[in-house]
Amino acid sequence: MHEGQGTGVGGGGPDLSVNLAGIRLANPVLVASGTFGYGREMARWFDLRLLGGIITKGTTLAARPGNPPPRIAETPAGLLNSIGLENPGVDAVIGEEIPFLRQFGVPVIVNIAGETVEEYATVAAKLEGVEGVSGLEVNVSCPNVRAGGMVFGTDPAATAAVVKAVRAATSLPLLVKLTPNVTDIVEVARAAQEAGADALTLVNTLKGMAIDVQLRRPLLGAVTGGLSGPAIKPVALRMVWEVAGAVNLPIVGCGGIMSGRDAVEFLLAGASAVAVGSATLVNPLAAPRVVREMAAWLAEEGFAGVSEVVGMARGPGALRPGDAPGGGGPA
Amino acid sequence: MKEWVEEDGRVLTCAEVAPGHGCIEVLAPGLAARALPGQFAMARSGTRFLARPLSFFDIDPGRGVVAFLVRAAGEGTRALLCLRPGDGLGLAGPFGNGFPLVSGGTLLLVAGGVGVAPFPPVVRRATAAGTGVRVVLGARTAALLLATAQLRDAGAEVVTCTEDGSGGVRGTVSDALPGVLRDLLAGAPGGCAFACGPPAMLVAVARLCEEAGVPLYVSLEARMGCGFGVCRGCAVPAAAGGYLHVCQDGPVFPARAADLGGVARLWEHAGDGDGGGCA
Repeated sequence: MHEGQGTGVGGGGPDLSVNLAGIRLANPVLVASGTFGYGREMARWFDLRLLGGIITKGTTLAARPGNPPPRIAETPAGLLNSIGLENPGVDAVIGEEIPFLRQFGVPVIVNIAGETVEEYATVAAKLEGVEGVSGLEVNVSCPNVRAGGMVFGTDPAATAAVVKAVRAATSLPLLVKLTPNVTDIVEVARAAQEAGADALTLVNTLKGMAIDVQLRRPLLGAVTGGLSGPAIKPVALRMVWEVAGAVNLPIVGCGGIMSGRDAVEFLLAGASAVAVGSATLVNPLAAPRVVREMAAWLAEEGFAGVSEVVGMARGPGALRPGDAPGGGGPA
Repeated sequence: MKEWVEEDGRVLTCAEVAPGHGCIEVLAPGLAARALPGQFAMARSGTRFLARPLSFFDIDPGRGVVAFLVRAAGEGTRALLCLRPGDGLGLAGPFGNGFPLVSGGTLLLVAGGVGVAPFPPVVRRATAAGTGVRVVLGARTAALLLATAQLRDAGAEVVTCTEDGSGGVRGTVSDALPGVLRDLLAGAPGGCAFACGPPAMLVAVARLCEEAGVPLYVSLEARMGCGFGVCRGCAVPAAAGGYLHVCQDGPVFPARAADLGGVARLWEHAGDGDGGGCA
């Protein structure tokens, strides 16, 4: 049952490697924050070297117990979660988790969160110079915490303030993970770029809820949660498309990727890499399967490398954002 | 040998065993070779996004077969019960810690409804180790008393209780338990108890075992995302404050470790939707 050691593509296959804001990835498939823990459990499933990179669980200054249960609710083609950034705190992550993860030699990007601008900067400063950390992902998009998270990400000025503070605290490549729960994601993406982001991860979960009809009350202990899974893929894809046309940063596409074909859609829309999230919860072998399927597709279609595909759906001849009214049916 | 496997099981039988309950036998040699009593598998129903946690109702490494006792609680479990022989079933596991091994003395098992699911393998292992096993099994009506034959075949002495009096003792397991506990303590000091069922029942059983001085382990359920520790979704309140995670710290806990009252408040609506966990 063990996954193969390679991508299933021989030496003559396409070049899967990607340079993401200075981080060298062997392939463009990362795993999304909060769906992979800190790699310990997943290392029991497959050789983590098969991945392009690992984005850790959201990490805060102090340990957090997380939100009151129930924390999970299933929805059509997806799930709601209200985990609430449960994590052991940055010191424990540096002391115990990073040493475990770095043995695989796969780039590790630590997702960081905080309740204040200063907390983000402090967590980033603590991670500076830690061996085995290749980059940071600034989480201004968690919908499940009262302070911090999405509170910053829904406001371009607040997003910029966090990114500026983290930028000043770290020399590491800086990804910023944005929330889809905004009217205009391009505006927030531009603010992140101007504040010093090196790359953007699009998108975090959509804020939603479910109600228990029997009990006449919300299903989640925290009332609302973040929606993920195939249900959100069209929204995530549209946002990648919009931002790729407006901002000059590499994008990690994230939202409902279940297969190599899904991943390719994000690349075609303009993402340089992708992150597999909820799929891992359903099938722990999902991410290496996405790598294999994507590699097979590139080979079958005769591409020499991933970069040839990035943004391909945009043209020449493709409509640019703003060229056409929304893609609905007849008005 | 890898501890966890992802396996395409093949359904051998899937039959209704009581109103709204079915038993699914699956050819899954990888799981059958690894599973321990009290552990669970995650099963993908094919119609719903998330897999469902199911306790091992039978583990037969010789035949490469595992079985699950399933209550139709929601769409996911209902879809599982519509499986037919020959159908594929995506499985992953075995997950969780399972029940501790008890050697010698007497083991008391207390089950409510489909909470009996993890117990037949427990009985087989205990009797093989020379431990006497008594089961107190409760249900609303006689038709819903599950697995009595399997438990007796495995060598357990079974006391049944029904709320409507249609089978065995009239009342709940809490009504029958004090007498059984008295016998247990009189016959064999150093006994131990395991319980699985509705949280309100677990609260009552924990109180009775506490009073009798019998150590109790409970198997809990929770809504789960992954089943193997990465999502942190299956939190339940811990007695010491904070949370325990059913998939990783459990599903079996010393009764004192969990805030069972808090767990009961979470599951007051058990019966609406897939609960998952150890049922």
